[in-house]
Amino acid sequence: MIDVLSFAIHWLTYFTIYAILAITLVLEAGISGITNFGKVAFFGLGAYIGAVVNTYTLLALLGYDVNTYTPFTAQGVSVLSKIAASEPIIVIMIFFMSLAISFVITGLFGRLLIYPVIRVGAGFVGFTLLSVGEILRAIYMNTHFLGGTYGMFGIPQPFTWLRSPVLSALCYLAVTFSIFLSAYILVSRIHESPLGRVLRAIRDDDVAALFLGKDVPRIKSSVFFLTSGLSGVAGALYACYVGSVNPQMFVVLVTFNVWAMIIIGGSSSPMGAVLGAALLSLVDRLLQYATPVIGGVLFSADYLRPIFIGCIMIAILVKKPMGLLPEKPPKITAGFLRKALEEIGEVNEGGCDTCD
Amino acid sequence: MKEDAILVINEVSKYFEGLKALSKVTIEIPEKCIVGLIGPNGSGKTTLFNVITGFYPPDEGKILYKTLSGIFVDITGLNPHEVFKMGVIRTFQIPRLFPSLTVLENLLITPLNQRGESVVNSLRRSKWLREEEELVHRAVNLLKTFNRLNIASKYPSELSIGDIKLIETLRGLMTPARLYLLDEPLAGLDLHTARSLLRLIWKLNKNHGLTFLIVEHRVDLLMEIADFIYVLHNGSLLASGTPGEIINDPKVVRAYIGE
Amino acid sequence: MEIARALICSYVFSWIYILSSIPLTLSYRTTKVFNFAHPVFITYGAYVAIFLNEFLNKNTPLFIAALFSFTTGGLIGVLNYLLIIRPLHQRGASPNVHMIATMGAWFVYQYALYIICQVLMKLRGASFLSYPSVEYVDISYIQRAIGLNTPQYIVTSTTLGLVVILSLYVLLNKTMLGFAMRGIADNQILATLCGIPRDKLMALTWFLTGGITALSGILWVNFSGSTTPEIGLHVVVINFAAAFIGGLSSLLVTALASAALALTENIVFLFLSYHLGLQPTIRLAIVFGVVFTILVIRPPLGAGGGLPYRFRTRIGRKVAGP
Repeated sequence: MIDVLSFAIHWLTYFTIYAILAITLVLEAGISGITNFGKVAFFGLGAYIGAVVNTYTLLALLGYDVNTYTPFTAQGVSVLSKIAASEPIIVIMIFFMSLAISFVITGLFGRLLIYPVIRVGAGFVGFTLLSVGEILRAIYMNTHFLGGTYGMFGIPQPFTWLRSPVLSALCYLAVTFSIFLSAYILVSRIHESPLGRVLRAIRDDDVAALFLGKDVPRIKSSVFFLTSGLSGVAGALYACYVGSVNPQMFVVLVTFNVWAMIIIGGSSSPMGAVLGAALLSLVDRLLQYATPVIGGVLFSADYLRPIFIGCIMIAILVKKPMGLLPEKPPKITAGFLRKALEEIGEVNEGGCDTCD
Repeated sequence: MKEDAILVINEVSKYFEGLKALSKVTIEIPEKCIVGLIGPNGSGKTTLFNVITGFYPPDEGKILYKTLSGIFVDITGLNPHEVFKMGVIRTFQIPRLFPSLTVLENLLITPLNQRGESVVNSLRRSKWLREEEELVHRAVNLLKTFNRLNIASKYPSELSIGDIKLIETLRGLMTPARLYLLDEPLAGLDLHTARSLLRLIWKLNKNHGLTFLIVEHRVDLLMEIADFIYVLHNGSLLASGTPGEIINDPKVVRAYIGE
Repeated sequence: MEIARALICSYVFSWIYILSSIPLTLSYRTTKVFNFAHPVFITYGAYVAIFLNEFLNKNTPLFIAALFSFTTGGLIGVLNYLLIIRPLHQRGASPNVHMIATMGAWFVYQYALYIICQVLMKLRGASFLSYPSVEYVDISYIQRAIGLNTPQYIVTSTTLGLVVILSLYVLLNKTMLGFAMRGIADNQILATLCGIPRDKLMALTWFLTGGITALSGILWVNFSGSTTPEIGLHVVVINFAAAFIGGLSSLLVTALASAALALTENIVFLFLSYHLGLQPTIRLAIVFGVVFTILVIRPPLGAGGGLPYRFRTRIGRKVAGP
């Protein structure tokens, strides 16, 4: 029984973190048409920022010499786990601070990066962001203070001091869930608002939108600030949940996973992204539990997963491009239309064309 | 330059890989007038629109625009959205409606500085709901003028070609601007709709003092409302004058029929 | 000495990049699809050579490897066209959807390769996930016969590179097929109306693209001491950069850009590793720096989409009033 519970918490935590990525990708790609093939760059940057703040700042604040107690040496890691168990207030404070810092830095990074790129075609945007992801990995690998190839360990989970693993996992889930929920509300509000309308127009035809007075690069990059900032927060949450970061965690496969989520769910509906994230993260986690059981007779089962998901993704794009939940026109504007038509008294003549 | 001009195009040239699309075109658009721009296909009419609205900067020459305060500013080479913000709105010859937006939403795109278009305000519905309702009313009234209320929630792919063209023009008329550049607004419209559109343009011009520059191949209809006509031929200005003068100009007739 | 090594590196890499960048530009300008499955061709080309080498007991002639790689790459290209690109085109999907679908295909192939490697590893007991360099026996034989002492990869890359570039030049400029391909690149609808069979021509373009790109893979395994299934990703970043500098339309500029990027990459890296002790993984960042600079200063608007948006704005300079 306890096993099912811990699996559920484990899955939900993964799901909420991935859902943040998927929802922001819906806003970027599905609604505004930014082909972000470098989602992992922002996720990874956020994770590394989260890792640095939660280890170095913590150690420095408690008076340890950060040159000896580094988060990739045995002393550093053991000191960190001691701190995590004994200093609840400061650990939680630093944790929330790290989320805020990840948001701001990743968001700014995304905005500065995208602004010059956004005016060239979608293919170049995809390619540029994809290579940024790879370059950040190269930089992590080459930076001694980030642990190089092996990465950093001992990032404290902020609720370790609760002693009960289930309880601390639940508390952490509450945090990730509330951030996921606010991201969801944010994206669906933007989707329904006049801004969402402008973004969808830009996605359809950015040149026409520019001629209708919309400063396309500026609008796109301010949306990108928001979405990449939130991806950064997701990264920081992930780092603290897993407890370690290393360059191998942030490969292009992560980007691919998130794209698969939104395509399966319906690439321009926020609810679809949540559905896609739930489905894929469940398959992912189940496979992780099942792999040791199935075992790799000829090859490891891990490799089958991307093949399978890739095929589904292509099949959906070819056969059912709107995904499981297609985009609907915003309700509020449609409501105003109905009201206006009723006032004129045209609603019955228009028949079903005017209702939704 | 004339004092009553709103837009002065001064010796503007544009080349495409050695080909002269516009050569030293000088045109003045008087304020509060309906100005027609005609010419055979490939005479540079759309290129001129593209140069004015910043699709590409001209290779030579200047474009001056009179702001509300009566001062002329140089708008040569501004970005398209900046030109729009100065009150110059254009429509496209080949309509560019947004395919995944309904007709109503296509109309609602145009009004500038909508409150709900900033990231912060879009999150707070109370900030933009009232404005949105007003805009929906404006759009519905516009559609009602043309008896097109039944297409309000259709998608562009479900419309007839004439309706697409009409919506493209109405989208420009959704927001008050000072100068409208309409690229063949009457193409593909039936005579009845074409006349209602002309009547609307005429009303906007007379009641609100808006200026129009209209490229049109249906010259007969255009002559009914235009105050002044410019004729372009092979990228340079061939003739200009009132509709009566143009009709009787042998040069124009020759350009259209061919030599 | 270091400089000489870096120059030799740049030379060989130039050929590898040229052979993989030119097909990318060619496929884009003919089909208007931004193919994110491009790295697949490179990786599969390399691994076909590796598998051959393993099964021929390290007696692989270059021409056999080239033949097999070319066919494999070409078939993958045609398969992609038939299963993904053509159905999407018929449905009228947007360019972005094409792009996303090819990205999906990339991962399918990528992990299929991992599985193939693992299965063969179980069968042969050799590790394919990091394979030492492959020597081509026919080239070594010729070299011995005429007493040429240069490293083999210089000979291989020069021969193969020149042969491919010349044949491509002849194909595109001297044959009807080449005219048809250029016609369809300029105006798809008009070319179809003129009776050019679009479907066949597209399939052929993808075959050529896949085949030529795969040849860069067999150069890579000849040169590199360690080939992994990830090489495609490294090369493709440079391909995109070069194609981008070539404005996605000019094959000549693409080729020159590939060579220039190879030179920059190796020389700047030499400098950085000498002064800062950085690892080879940082090389990508160097290339990217170049591309990003171009992006800001002179973006190739028009090709591959783009906005008529200029950063240098001078909001309405005032002119003397009347």
